[in-house]
Amino acid sequence: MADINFFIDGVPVSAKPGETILQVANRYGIYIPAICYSDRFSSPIGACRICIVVIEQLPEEDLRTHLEAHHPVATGKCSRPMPACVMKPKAGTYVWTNTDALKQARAEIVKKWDRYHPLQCGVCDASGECELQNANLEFNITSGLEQDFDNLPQKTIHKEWPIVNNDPHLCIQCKRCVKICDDVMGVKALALVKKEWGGFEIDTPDGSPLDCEFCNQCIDICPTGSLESKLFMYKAKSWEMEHIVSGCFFCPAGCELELNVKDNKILRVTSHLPSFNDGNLCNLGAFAYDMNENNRITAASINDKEEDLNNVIGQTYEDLKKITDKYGTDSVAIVCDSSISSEAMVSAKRLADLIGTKNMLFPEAEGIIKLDMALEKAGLLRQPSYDQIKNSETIFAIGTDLTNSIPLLDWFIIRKSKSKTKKGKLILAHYRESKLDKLKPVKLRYNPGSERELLLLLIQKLAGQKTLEFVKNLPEPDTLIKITGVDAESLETAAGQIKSGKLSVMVDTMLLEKSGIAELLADLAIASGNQASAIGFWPISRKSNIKGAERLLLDNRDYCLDKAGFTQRLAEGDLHAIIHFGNSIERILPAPIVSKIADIDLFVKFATHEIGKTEAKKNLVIPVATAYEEDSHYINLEGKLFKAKKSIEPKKDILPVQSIVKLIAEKFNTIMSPIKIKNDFTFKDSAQLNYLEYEYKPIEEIEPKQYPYRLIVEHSRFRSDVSTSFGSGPKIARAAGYAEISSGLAEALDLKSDDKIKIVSKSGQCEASLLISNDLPDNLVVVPDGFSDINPMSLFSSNDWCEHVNIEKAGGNQ
Amino acid sequence: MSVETREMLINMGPQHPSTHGVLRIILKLDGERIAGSEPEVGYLHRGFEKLAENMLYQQFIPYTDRLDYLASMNNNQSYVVAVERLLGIKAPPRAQAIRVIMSELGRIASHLVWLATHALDIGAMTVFLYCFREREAIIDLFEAAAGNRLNYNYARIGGVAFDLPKGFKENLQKFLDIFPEKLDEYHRLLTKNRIWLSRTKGIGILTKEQAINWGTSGPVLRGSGVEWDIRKAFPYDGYENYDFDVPTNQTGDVYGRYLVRMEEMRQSRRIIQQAIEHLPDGPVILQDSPYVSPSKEKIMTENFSLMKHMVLTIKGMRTPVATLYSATENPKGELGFYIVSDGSGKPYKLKIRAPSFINISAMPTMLKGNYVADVIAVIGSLDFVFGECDR
Ligand code: SF4
Ligand code: SF4
Ligand code: SF4
Ligand code: FES
Repeated sequence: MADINFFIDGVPVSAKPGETILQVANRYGIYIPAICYSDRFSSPIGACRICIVVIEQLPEEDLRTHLEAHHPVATGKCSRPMPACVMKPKAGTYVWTNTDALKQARAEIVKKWDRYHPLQCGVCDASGECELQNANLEFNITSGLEQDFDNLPQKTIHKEWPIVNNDPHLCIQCKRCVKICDDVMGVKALALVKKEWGGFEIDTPDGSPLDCEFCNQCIDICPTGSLESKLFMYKAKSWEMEHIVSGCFFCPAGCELELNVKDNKILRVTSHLPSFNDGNLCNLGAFAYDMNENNRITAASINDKEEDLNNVIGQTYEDLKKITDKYGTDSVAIVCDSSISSEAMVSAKRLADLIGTKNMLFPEAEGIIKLDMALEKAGLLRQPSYDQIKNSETIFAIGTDLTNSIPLLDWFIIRKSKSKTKKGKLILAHYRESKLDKLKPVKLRYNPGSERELLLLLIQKLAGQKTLEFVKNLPEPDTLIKITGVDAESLETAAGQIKSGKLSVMVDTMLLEKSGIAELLADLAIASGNQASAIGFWPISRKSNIKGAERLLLDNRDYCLDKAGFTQRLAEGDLHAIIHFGNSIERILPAPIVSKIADIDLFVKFATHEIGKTEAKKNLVIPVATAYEEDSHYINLEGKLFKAKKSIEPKKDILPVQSIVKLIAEKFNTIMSPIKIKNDFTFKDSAQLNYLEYEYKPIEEIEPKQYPYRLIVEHSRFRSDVSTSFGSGPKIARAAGYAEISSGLAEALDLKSDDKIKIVSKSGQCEASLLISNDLPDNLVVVPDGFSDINPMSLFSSNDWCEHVNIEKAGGNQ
Repeated sequence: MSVETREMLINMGPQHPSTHGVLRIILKLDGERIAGSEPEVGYLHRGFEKLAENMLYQQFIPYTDRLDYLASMNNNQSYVVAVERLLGIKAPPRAQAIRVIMSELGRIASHLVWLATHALDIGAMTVFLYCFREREAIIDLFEAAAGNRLNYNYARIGGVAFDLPKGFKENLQKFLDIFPEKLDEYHRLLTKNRIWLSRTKGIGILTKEQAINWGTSGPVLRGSGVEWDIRKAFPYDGYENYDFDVPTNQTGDVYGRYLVRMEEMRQSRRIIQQAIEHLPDGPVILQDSPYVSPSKEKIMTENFSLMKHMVLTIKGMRTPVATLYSATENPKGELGFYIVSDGSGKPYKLKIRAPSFINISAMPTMLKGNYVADVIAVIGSLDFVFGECDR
């Protein structure tokens, strides 16, 4: 389609197909006031009418003379006022944005908003960034308003809502909140609702207290003080805070955001535009900021006794020396969380080099490494960019709930579903429902644990007879269908869509740890018939620097210890010292392994938050700075390096990991250079795609009688690393961990929602309150990770992806 | 035996009672004669221009007080006129007249301090006491109107802060009535005094051409015979409506500049007399303007007024994107503000053309060939203030 040439205020402009008058004006830097419009929406709202313009149509031959004679004002014959944010331009028309009549009409609109607006700016959090205030000044409202403050309509202020304070008196009914919640978040938690007094208010559609993703989007986009964060209310005036543009380090999406800081404290988080996340944030990015203040480790300690930091550093060196002298350098292992910064990871590696050990373990990165290895062999290893998702024709997600794992991908997919040209297809293979089901994807509902069988079915559909060449013992399709429980028709559609073009494969890293999954995914991708460059693999994890861990491990393959290897070394008594960079080793390793740590000589932990306690013979704890307290880098899901900026000064004696390792290095008589994180990692393209061999073995699970259910760990969007448990926002959104079972199972066991239950496994037990879901299979117990009050790992007896458990009502033995 | 002669460098200031502030002059002397000189300024630099970039337009008004602190009223006026020109607004007639009264009083007060100290430097002590007596009357008037005795912060964008207080007009008239006599008294003490004449006549000559080339302005320029007054050339605040003369003197020496300033005081009085006689009624600040906060009463009772007030004080005015230079005739010369506006409530760049700074640069030309003792006379005749020069 050709560009459309027309005029705005006498300036010749040209519109791209589909653009509205407002968008063209913005592109040309011509100012048209707009309130309800936002670039963040997929379509305009058209509610405020501040953006009205008039359009004049003149015969072609008049163009020149008209402009010369009247530039830049409209003459007669104009259209009635039309919203520029909705109207598409017509070729050869004149758009006038600021005639006297328009000015007056805009002033009238503002007066309408003012009519019942309370005199509240002095105590309103929005003051200074309120668009209603701005409009009053811009349109210079001076009079012509009868106000009767004694007889304002009585609207309901929703102070009882969690996190979001909703004061409809301040609302101008622009519906930006409604739109962003629906259009961007896909939640639809808000609506403009007719009330008894005869007017409308923003409320939940059914009037119950807000229960949503608590993502901050509506607060952030509200032009007035109508929606405010209760965590921020009355803390500071908008102009007192410094806005620090930074990256979110709570999940691997790495969204851009602005930390609002005053007096060395983060008081709120606002969106940053333009950004790849379109200013959107999830509950963690927006509200977990005060995790920085709560439950912090503030002093170094030796066996729980507070000690001077320098002493502990000296002690670390001496103890390590003793151990390596006695047992050799190979007796030390370094274990890293995958949510620490790249600087911390490199520091850990440098420490390993100083000690002379190559034992490094990143337990959470095991799945991603498995996938990389498989993809490398298959010739598929590549780093896709976020654009790959936006442009892909088919998204195939397996074993993952994207909304709860990487909210950014959820927003991308929702936005994609609204696109006219790049809608694409969505296939969700999961054992339960998810928010994205609303988008009407192809749903492959399978029995949990039968992912391999499901993949085999799909591969077979795509590769046909050829499958037999690389899969040994391939069972009959009927058998597979029976095992998976998948609907044959959906399977057919899914296979067809996978074949249709550019493919994004999204898979949870916990699932990837399961043997065979990575290989089968590679085979599936090859069977889709795509070029390697048209396939993007997206390993899904909640650990913010999983990609940093991946890079480090791929670069230093000989340092790689896997969980099995680690377990074995520990069991054989080969390890005498463990250094952990992270908050809680008991959250990343199964209970029996953790209990072995009690026998080792030295456990050193570099941690930010007080979570759990590991008891070795000697325990050193060194407090370290969070990413709010130092400039640090992370690698996001699309492989881009980003910086989490230092925004507050840490307390005395809290140093970045890098600085502490530097001090330790000095004891080794080594001067450590500052760490510069580069992202020069390149994947070698391979021309040849190879199917990977796979030998099918049916799972023979003998489910022990006393542990009849299966425990699966899921992600929650309200937690990532456990440290996020200490943020007020996530805590309000979801106060505590829980265990989820199906309604059928609950009925059978006579359990009700919110009952306290005890989950027991061979290696441990824990309590949780019960959540009942309609979409779970009956033999499943689901526990989320990242909650400080419940640690699913304590129930796991091995490195397997699921565990056999029993559940009972807590507190009674009847 | 031969006597060797050579030029000597001596340092005058930066702390010297006759330099009227912290000025250092490096004098190159050939015996008693000045072979060359180099003024060094900047000791009072406070970074006003940079500071301005970080504050709202209206917040900068009190800073202008501290430019030429002997003429704060004039600086206030000069700055708000510049901003008003940027915004394309004018203060209401009454406010304009009040600003004219205040700045002409300011001119007299400033010239009185000049005369007092200039005479004192050359040895005429009595004049000093008389001048300060009259200046006191003016300061009392200022205090009554603005509440302050030195830094008045009185003008506002779009008007002035308060209307004239009760009794102001009467007290002002009293002053205007006695002032001509006082002026005559100063003349009697100095104008034909032999010592005064020999210390000022033919000293520190700046020719008409030099005065123009050095970019001087105000009494320095007019003392060299150039008839140039911004009040006439680019009138502001209604100066075009007043009758007054622009005194000049062709000699270009210290004495010439003396005569010019003496006459300027008389002319200022003339302007004030006209202003007070035809003082218009009406508001002293723009009403219902998008650039001026509404009255307190409105702010407390009308939400749109409250909202406007909040935005004006928090984010400031919505200015046009523009670049502008605006100047006024201050007691020391042309005070100009160069403003680059990016459309926000804070100036993107604000440059101040300070007459003292530019007039000082003409000093070496004036000093060359004169005696060391004349330095003091020349400094006095230049009448500079470092608050403004160094900014
Ligand atoms: S919403 Fe805006 S206009 Fe209303 S009280 Fe708050 S700051 Fe003032
Ligand atoms: S916080 Fe997010 S999910 Fe909740 S109502 Fe607002 S936009 Fe919707
Ligand atoms: S609550 Fe805010 S965003 Fe929502 S309609 Fe009202 S003013 Fe608009
Ligand atoms: S911006 Fe167009 S109607 Fe609101």
